[in-house]
Amino acid sequence: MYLDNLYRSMPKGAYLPVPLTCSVRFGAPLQRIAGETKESLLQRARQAVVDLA
Amino acid sequence: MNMQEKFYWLFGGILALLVLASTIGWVLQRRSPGSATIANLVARVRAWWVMVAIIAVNFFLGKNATVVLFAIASAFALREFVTLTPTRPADHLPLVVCFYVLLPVQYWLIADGWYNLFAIFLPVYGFLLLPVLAAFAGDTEDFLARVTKLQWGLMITVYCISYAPALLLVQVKIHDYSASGQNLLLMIYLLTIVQMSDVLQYVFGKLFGKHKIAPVVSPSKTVEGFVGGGLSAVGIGAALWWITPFAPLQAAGMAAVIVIAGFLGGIALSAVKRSLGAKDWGSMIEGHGGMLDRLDSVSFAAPIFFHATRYFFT
Repeated sequence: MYLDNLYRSMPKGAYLPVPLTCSVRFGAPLQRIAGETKESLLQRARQAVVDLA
Repeated sequence: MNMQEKFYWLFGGILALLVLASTIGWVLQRRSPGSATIANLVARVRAWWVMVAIIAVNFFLGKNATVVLFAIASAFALREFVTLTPTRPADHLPLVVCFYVLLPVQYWLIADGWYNLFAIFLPVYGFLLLPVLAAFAGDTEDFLARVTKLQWGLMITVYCISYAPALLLVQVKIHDYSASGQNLLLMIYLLTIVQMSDVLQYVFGKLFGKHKIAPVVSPSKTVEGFVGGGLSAVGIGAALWWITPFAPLQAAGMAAVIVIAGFLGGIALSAVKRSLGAKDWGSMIEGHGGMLDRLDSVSFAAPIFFHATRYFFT
């Protein structure tokens, strides 16, 4: 899941959100790969989010 | 005729037009189903029904409702503008002030009838305040470009659009026009001419358009569309003289001012939109694009119509 434009609507440390158009993008669910290491899963999950941006 | 009767005649005419447009859309869609242009036309007509209904309801709710309605429209337009304009985290405070302070105050000034401050609030105080707020955030990267974009968006989406409800402040003495509370009709006159001009230019352009006026900026605008649609809109403006304080010829002149200003606004804002890399400002009005796609002509026509009326008729 990728939240687009949220960093502009409410950057770190801000108290009030600016009403910009933001969008939520859902990617395909990640499938489990048997015997996968933690690092490789994290890497794969990170890449999936980056691909949605 | 009193104001209520004028209103019923005007909206009767607009309803007849909408029924005609819906019928044409329905027939075209039956003749060639699956055409994207016709599907868009039908969506546009449907959105028009909703927009006309909103203006009609608003007419009965009166002055404050009109101000609130346009404040909301401005907020949506500003939102579309800022969404497409690149900003940095340091712009957050100026943006918050635009949305939550400057915009409400500008419209409150209209509701309050404080014309002198309404006319200078954003061009003077807003203009000077925003760069100060941005400067204290301490980010100098592209500073001038950032504050310029913000100021520009504010001027178009808030200042210029607020001139439409500000027509309620003009004191026209001819035929006791303002004293009998008819200014709301003057605002509806402005909106009707601007939007009829847009629609008729689109229709004439689709039917007869050959020579593009601004091929790079606005490929759908043609000489034939502008001349045919513009002249028809001026004709409608003259024919609607009875809802304004103007004589028929004066109404034609004022309609011409509205049509030309609206046309130029469409071109200028189209250039801005394209420089930001978008085809439409948003997607909230089905078939039309965003709020600012519908109000781009209004933002240029409203201030000029306001000041022309104020200068020549008060």
